[in-house]
Amino acid sequence: MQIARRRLRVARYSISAVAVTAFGAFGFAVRDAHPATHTKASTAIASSAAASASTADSAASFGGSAVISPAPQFAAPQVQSSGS
Amino acid sequence: MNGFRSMGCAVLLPDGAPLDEVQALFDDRDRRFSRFHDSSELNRVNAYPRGLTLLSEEFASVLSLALDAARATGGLVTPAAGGALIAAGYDRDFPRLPLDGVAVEPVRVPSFRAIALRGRALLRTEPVILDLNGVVKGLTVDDALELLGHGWVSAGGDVATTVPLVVGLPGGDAITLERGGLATSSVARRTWRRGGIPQHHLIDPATGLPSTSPWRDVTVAAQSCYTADVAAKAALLLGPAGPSWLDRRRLAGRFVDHAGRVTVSERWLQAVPAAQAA
Repeated sequence: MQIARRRLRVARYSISAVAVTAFGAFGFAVRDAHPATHTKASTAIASSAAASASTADSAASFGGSAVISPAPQFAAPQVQSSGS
Repeated sequence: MNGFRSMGCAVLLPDGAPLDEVQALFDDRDRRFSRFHDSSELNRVNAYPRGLTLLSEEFASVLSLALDAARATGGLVTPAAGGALIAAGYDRDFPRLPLDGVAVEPVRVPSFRAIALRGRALLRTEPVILDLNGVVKGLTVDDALELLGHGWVSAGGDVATTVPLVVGLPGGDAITLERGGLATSSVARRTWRRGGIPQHHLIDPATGLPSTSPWRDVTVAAQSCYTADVAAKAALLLGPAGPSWLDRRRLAGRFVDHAGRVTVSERWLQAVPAAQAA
C-alpha cells in the first residue's frame, strides 16, 4: 500500500514537472509566433509596459523620482490626490 | 479643466486636451479589466481560475506589469488577491455594495508565483482569481499622458504630469508635482462593513483580510503613476515599515495615520522641508 502511494506521489510529481516544462516550451512558441514579437508595438500600453517593466523588476530599480516641491503659498490645488 | 467619469472615478485633463481619445482609452481599459462588467476579459479569465488560458495582447501586457509589481513588492501588491477581495464583500460595483452583511471568513491569497505568463499564455498552477485593480488605473493615467504628449492627467487622485501641477493631499496640505507621477492609497475611501466590521479594498496577502495598517493614507511620488500607485499600496500594507521601505528605494512618500498625524519619508522631507510639521 505504501509503495503504491509512493509511486502515485512520484507519478503526480512527474506529471507536474512535465506540465510546467511543456508550458514553458509552449509559451516560447506562442510568443515567437505572435506578430507583436516581430513588429514594433504601436499601442500606448505596449510602450508603457516596456518602459515600466524595466523599472519594476527589482527593488533596487523600482524607484525613480518624480520632482516635487512646496506648493506656492496660497495656491489652490489644481487637482486633489485623495486616494483610491 | 475638463473631464469625464470612468473606472468609478473622475478623470480630469487640462483645458483643450483631446478628451475623446483619452476617454476611449479609459473606457476600453475599464471594459477589459473591470470585475463589474459581465463581459470583461478579466471575468472570462476568472471564470476558469486554474490551468492554461490564452490572453489578449493587452491583457497579457497589464498582467505582466502586475506580476512585476508583485515581484518588486515581495508579493504585497499582487494580482492574486481577487478571491480575498470578493470574500471581503467587494463583489459588485461600489455604489451597489450593501453597507453591511455577513461576517468575513478570511480567504488565503495564493502566491503570485502560482501565475506564470509566457507571451499571451497564462498558466495558473492553482485556482487564482485575478484582480488587476492595483495597476490598471495608474498605468492608464501614464498611457493617457503619453497620448497627450504634454500636460497632465488625474484619475481619482492618481496623477501624471509633464508640467508643474499643484496637488492637494489628504489632510489639507499641498505640493507642486513638477513632473512624474503621484498616487495616494487610502483605506478611508470605499469602505463598507461585514459583520459590523469595517472593510476596504486593500487586502493584506498575509491574512487574506483588509489591511489593519496604522496608515490611513499613503501618497508616493515616483517617475510614473504606475510606480507611485504600486509603491503607495505597498508602503501602506507594510505598516510601520512603510517609510523605511520607500527610503531604501529613494522614493518620496507621505503617510497620514488614522488620527491625522503626518509622517514623511526622507526624500519627501528633502523636497518639501515643511512637510513634517504639516
